[in-house]
Amino acid sequence: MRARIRSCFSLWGGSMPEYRLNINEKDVVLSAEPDMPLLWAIRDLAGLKGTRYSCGKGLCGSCTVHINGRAMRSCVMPVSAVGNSRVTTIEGLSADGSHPLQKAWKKHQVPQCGYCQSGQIMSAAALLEQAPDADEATIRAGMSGNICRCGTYQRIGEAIRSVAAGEE
Amino acid sequence: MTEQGKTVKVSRRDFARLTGVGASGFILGSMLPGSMAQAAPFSPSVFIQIPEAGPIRLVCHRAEMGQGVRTALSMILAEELDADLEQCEVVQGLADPVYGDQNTDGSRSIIMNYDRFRQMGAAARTMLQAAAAKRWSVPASQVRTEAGRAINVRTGATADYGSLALAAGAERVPSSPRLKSSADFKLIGKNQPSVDLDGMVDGTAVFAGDMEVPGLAVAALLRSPTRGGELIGYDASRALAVPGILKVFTIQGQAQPINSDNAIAVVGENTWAVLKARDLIEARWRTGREEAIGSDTYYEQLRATAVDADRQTENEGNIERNRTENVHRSAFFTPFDVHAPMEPPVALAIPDGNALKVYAPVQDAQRARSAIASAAGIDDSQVELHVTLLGGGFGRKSQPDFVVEAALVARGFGGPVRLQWTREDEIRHGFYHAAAAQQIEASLDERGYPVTWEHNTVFPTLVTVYLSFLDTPAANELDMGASNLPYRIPNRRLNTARMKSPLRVGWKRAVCNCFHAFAVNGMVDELAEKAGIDPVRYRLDMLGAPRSIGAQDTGRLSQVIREAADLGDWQARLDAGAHLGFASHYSFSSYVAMVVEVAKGRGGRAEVVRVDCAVDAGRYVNADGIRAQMEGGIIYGLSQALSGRITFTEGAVDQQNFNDFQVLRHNQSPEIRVRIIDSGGAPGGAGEPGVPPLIPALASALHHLTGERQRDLPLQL
Repeated sequence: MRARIRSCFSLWGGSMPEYRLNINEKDVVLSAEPDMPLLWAIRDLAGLKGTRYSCGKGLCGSCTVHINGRAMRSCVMPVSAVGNSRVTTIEGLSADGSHPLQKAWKKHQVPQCGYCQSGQIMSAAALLEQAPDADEATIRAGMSGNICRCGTYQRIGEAIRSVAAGEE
Repeated sequence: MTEQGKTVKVSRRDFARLTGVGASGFILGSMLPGSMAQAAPFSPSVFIQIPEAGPIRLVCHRAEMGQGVRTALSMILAEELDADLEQCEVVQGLADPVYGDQNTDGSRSIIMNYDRFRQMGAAARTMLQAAAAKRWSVPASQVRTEAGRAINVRTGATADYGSLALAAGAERVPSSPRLKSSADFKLIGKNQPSVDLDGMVDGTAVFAGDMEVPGLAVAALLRSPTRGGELIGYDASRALAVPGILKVFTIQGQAQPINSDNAIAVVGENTWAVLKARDLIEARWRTGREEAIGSDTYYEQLRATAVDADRQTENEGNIERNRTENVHRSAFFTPFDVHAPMEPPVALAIPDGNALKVYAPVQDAQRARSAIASAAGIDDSQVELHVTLLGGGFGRKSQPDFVVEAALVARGFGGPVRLQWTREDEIRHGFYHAAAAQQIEASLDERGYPVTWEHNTVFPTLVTVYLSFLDTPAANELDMGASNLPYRIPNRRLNTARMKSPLRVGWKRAVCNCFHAFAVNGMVDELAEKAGIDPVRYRLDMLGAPRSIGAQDTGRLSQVIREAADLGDWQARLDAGAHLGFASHYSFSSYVAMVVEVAKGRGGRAEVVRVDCAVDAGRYVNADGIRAQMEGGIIYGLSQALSGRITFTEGAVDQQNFNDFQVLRHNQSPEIRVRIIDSGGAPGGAGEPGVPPLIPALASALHHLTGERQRDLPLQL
């Protein structure tokens, strides 16, 4: 599917470069300044709101998406650098919230405010792709780039371990 | 204390009052605010609506910021209504006085609503039961209710609530709805997953920044780097050249109680354009002399003021006459700290003629609505404020400044605007947790217990939010852990002093309890060590026989101390060589005690290994919610204890983002165990009480490990 998305004002759209991105297995053409971070292209231009802004400097992990399956901070990745890479956001992780990690997140009642959890889950999913049977130390280190101010770390760890142990 | 089949007398007038509906009637569609305008046939209160078909609608009038209030309040209503939560839809109430108090602050949602929500649910259930009894021509006693339906006990016939809605609406409001026996609770006191869980896990939960309306523009503000700075001039030509920028203009800072800054608004098509353009504005600001101070100087002044604090606020016995030779004195210091919720402030404002529609993550809906109205020069009724999910609040979103800014920018732009704060904005333009300097001097009897206790506490009062000229702590601030000291000490004095703040200050999770618990527990730990008495034993000895101090029951405090020591195997692990610290604190009507363990980690730095927490929040609603709040409070407390420090240069905050303002991360988080005490006492808070004891328990554990006392935050590992 190919969609053409442009800001509702379209005053400047014509003069800006266009980027064809593959987001959640769909091709999307966006008009954006080359330095626009992927985060804002995803949120403001592609209209996918599950990827969240929190620090804008790659420090907290709230905006984590997958680029060719690897966890990346979309807030510091220019849209012009994405190229032909496959971008996966929380909306594309599963069709219906049924990814084993999402199920584990519910079972362990991880979220409090929920704001950082898209990023947490995307980081965890990439981590388990790399290390399917990750032990506790690997999980603690691998998840330390994602901040949660509500303090759900213990439950995040439990949820990831339950998936790594094949319980989901 | 349980409530076996407790019957509460409710007059019609009381019912109207407790449901928040005017005395003129209880099914008044016209009285239902905005989103609720299509009243269901049976709307026995503004909180419960039962349509003929579809889910029962339960209104949550308080702000959800991760503390689980939408779940917990719905559990109370559904419990007495005899409905399953799966049959209910939780609807967020607009800002509207019809609901009563909506200020989601002070861990009070359950405290304020436990009884009245039970009564409302029970009254509605009684009316549905009466309607079913009439339908079946049987006495009401022959009708029982369960899972959203009425059941004829003799015939087994059933009628779901929707089918009874019209008839129930014609029933009399019961004067004394019968409340359930706690033994029959199916929801209250059990573990209930959040009603918002699915959307938080699949990304579809809607926060204010996620909302779209036609023609929505994005805005960011360039604020004065110092509080109250005046704009002398600016050049926006480079900003206006950024593709997508639509307008640049100034907005006025608002005085108390809004306390917003003067700012230059940049409005554009998308967030990135706006953030880029903002950086290109050259602005010159003038800072007031009083504000242009550095934190080194300010913190020194604060410490010095605490030593000489001489405004006596509490006095018991006579310190001068009874002071012994054995005097111990310590000074404690806690710097400014900032909230840093993962969602920085954000708000959507949509002008509609003179009126405004606003979507925002606010803790205090009615205050925010009035603030918008007053800044925009319109009546409260012309502001429709929708409270969105909060991506964390912690007190920051009690302040309406960012919502007012959004409204003023939308007005100035002449169209709908999303005002987006960046992390840097949030850290540099906060309403900071007040810095505090304290000194406690105790003199001891021959066994090592205090005979006199003189506590000096100095901090800029948070009441300045409302009255900026105030410069002395208020009684209710001192009552957060200082004047309500639970220990039996015959001669006591509490002193404070005047102190202004160059930064805005505001409430932050657990507020003054954080620094008072730090100093009081720190002092107790030092005195116990000096006396050679185990600190758990020492606390229990000083508490003695249970007594009441205001609403505080020291017997319940003693109990959580014993429970935490038991949960944490206090003595056994100490004997085995573990480095443990202990602290206890009463706040927001709840009692919490903790054991913290630290150990030498890799690289020689200490690590926080484990925290055992006992909590008595009285009659609680969601057991898992209490556990989650203790876990969260502990992590939040660890961040404050280990890295919560704001500094400033010439009045401008130095920290910018999560690189120079560190918060606790996953790889630093300890194992946490929580034990909930079933005291049956009056409902207490859960969101905040987990924070205060963590900080001194950690300081005590670090002392056990290193032998050195740390009396200043942040603590060094």
